[in-house]
Amino acid sequence: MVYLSSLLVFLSLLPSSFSRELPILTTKQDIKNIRFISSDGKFTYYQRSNGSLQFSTNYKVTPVIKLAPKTHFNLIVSNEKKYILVEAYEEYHSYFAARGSAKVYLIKYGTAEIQEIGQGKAIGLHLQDKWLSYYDSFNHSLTLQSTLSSNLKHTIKMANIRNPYFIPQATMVDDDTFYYTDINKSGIPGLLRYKLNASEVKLVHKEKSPNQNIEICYKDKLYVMTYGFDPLEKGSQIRILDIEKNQITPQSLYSSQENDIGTLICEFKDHLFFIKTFRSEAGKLTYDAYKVALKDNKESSRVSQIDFATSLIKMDEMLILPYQNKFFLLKGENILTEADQLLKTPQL
Amino acid sequence: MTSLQSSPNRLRNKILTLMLFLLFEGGAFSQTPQKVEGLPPGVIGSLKQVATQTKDLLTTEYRNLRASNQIEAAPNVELVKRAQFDSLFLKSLFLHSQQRYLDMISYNPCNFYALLENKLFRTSLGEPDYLLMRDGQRKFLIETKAFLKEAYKTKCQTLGQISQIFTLGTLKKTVSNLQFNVPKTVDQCRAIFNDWKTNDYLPYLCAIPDQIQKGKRSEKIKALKKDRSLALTRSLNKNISVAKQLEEDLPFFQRNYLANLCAGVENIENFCSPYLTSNAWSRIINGEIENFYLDHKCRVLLKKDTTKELTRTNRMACAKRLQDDPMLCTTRSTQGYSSLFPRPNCSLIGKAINETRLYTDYYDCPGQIDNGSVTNIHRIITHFFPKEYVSKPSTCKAEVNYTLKVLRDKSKNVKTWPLKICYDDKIEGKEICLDYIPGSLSSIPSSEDRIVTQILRRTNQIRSNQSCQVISSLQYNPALLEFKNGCFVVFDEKNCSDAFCPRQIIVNEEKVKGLKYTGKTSFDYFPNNWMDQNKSAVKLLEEVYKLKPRQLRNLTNLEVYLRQKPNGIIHGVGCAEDILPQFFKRKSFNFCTPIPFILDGIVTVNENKVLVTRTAYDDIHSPRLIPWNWIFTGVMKYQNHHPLNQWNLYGLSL
Repeated sequence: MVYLSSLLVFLSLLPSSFSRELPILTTKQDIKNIRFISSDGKFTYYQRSNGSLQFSTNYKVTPVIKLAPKTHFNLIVSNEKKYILVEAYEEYHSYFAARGSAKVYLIKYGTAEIQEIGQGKAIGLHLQDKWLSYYDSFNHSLTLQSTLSSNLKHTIKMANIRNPYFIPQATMVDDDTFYYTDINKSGIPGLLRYKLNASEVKLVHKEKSPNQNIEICYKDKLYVMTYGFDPLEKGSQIRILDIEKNQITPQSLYSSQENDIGTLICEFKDHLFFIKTFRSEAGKLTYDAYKVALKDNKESSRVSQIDFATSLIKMDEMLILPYQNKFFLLKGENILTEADQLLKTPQL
Repeated sequence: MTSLQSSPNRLRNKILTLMLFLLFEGGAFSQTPQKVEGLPPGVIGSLKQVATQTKDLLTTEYRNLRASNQIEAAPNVELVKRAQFDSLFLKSLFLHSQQRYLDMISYNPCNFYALLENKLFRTSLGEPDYLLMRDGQRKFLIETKAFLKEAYKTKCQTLGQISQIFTLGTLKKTVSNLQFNVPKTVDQCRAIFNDWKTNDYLPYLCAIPDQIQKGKRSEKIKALKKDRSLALTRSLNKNISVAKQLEEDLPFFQRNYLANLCAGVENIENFCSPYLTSNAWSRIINGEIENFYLDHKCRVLLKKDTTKELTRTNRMACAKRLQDDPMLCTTRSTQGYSSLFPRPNCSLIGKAINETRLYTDYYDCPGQIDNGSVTNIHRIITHFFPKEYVSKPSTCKAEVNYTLKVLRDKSKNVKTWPLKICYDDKIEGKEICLDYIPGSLSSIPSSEDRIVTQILRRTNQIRSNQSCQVISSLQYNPALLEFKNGCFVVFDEKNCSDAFCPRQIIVNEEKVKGLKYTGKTSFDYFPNNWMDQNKSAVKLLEEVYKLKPRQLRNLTNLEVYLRQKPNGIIHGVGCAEDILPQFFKRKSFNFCTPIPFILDGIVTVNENKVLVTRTAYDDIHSPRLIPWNWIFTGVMKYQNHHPLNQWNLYGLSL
């Protein structure tokens, strides 16, 4: 009986992905050129080495924009799919500047209609694509702009002077309330609220030490993930911000003794996803995708088994784990090919 | 380490030492009538009184004997055999000499003479150049050197020969023939130390760190005491010159080993503890790792000027701080040199430094250099061709850019420099653009301050004897008299990099217009197309500095390369989202921020192979430990975006 119960405990601890094969995203054209592809495969935006961004649908290809050769594009698409926000790095291969600015453009989703927005990075679409934001790391300012009118614009001066490579997180919960992260002059990160109508900034939450990081993600609720950078200040947790009270709830949705990698994704129903740090009994650290249940009847578990995951991305309805030269599909279907492959930890 | 604790009872040791010496000398010292009576032993106040009274008595004795010419300049062996040390002299010597040297007498009574010879004893009057002795009732002074010369004829004869091999001319060879064994265990350390204790060379070896210290003290006295006598100046100069000679002749490791060994005579832990630790900071103190891995951090922490060398005491105090408070390194210790924040803790940096090899005896400032390739190239060239930079926050940007300019100037394939200051030249009737290096570095002709000066003189906006200074807005204070007149290029130190740096040029409090800064240091780090591949930075490194690249594909390649090339380093470009995933987040499909990096060591941490990594955005003195798999993924992801689909991870060696 003891053996049986031990076995059951052991089995319950096993990640569900042990029994699961993770498909690899494959595409008809060279995957490295793709910047966005819809889950149904109908809309594809891809770049070419001549510096152009192309839009492809129904076997028809339309040029969206052409910049300097070898321009690198990053495309952000929200759940609403009204717009696509674009960062374009023209000197991508000859000017390795993590704090550099890109040209920012807005495309009407499913079209090749494009308009220039400004210069910046850390782009985001908010509140059913009614707003967009971008960060100018040279002027230390965060710009929030209406997608409908470029005249409706708010610029927030950031406090950060400690980390030249800091990239703020930003989200919007209603037409008047914008949340973002910043670092104070002592290097301590904080979550701040900006009220658009009053042009007023208020500190919502401040971490205890500069060795902490804050990520935020909004989908009906504002999820706040915090984790440490340093093994001497370990611990991670996800909590919810009570928007009415403007304070973080003390109860954690999730907590860990380790410093997770993060990359919090909250747009899927039932679960939050991020990269979690696992420690074996022998002390070995591994990093894999993890899901935290948002409902009692759902399970929280490890969802990949590659040991050295670094990031997760959401593209339309797909949840993708990029690793080495592959893109593992954690959610969504690989409709473009039947050639799903078994996932193995690569032997290096 | 507690098993090593000897905690000697100093008083007991002094008494034992004295008794041993008296036995050895066969009662060869005489009683001077005690005039310091009635003082209870063991009371500090009383001991101080004893010391003062002894000094007074000894001064009087020496003065009287000199006045009555009771000096034996050329004693014969018979006199030396017959003569006895005066008890007052011995009392003073035992009171004022360091315990560690007195302890050496208990290892070997002959050490008394060797310590005298090496000037390691002191009396209340300083180093005893003359000994106070008695022959029957007659007291006299005898020159120490002359006394020892005769004494070695009858006692401790081997010392006469040892003296010959420890002169300033012979010492280098003698020391190089000695074995300086580094202990790995407590037992080994005890055995090694016991071997040294019975070594006849011990007092001679301990004279080496003592003389080096004496030289350093003399330098300080020389700097502080300007109205000194000629005799003192000569003596100080001699001490300084001997110390310099010793520092030149003996490697740092041996000098430190001897300092530890001689400190260990008093307490064995002083000798063993630096060797029985894997802590990098202790290993630096100990001479096993270069000082500069610690010094640049410590200068910032201890607020020491970059031009001043740190003392061993400074380093030990700083190392203790880093060890006791490892979080210090995450936020402090890099003031003025902006970089990716926060940095690793001191303990992790220490682990990395144990395995690092990159030459870093300077500071750079990645936060002020937008293109990470420029920082990486500077670090690579300086590793293979070290330069002694006196880096300051105000000059670090110029130093880094200048390295790139020199590389391009020396190349046959790239001659142009992209950063220019342009102005309308009325005489020429056209716009003239001059190359400049951002920042201020007076030794460089194209330094920004010199170019602005040149232009403003040409346009008659300053006089021909006026020069411009590049200063931060924090330094510039127009309320002060020194800023009322003159030319200043004022920048915002909190927001100034080579690509973005709003400046104001101010001459005699008036803003000057008409100067235009243009250009970016854009260039291919690795070749991005076949036609221009010779213009890429890696090809220039090969062409100008003959650095040989070897492509490395897997961890085994890396391990073998670092083993085979003791001075080799590895560089590459990968996606920051994979290499530093805690800091850089991938937000969309095929999102990748290219980041150049240097790898120079491998460590196993938490059962993972991790690489000693300095990305171009990291503080040069705060290497990170990054899992190989992350580096591999980062390089592979960037390869997918690379125009030539090239794997960009290479070893570099001369």
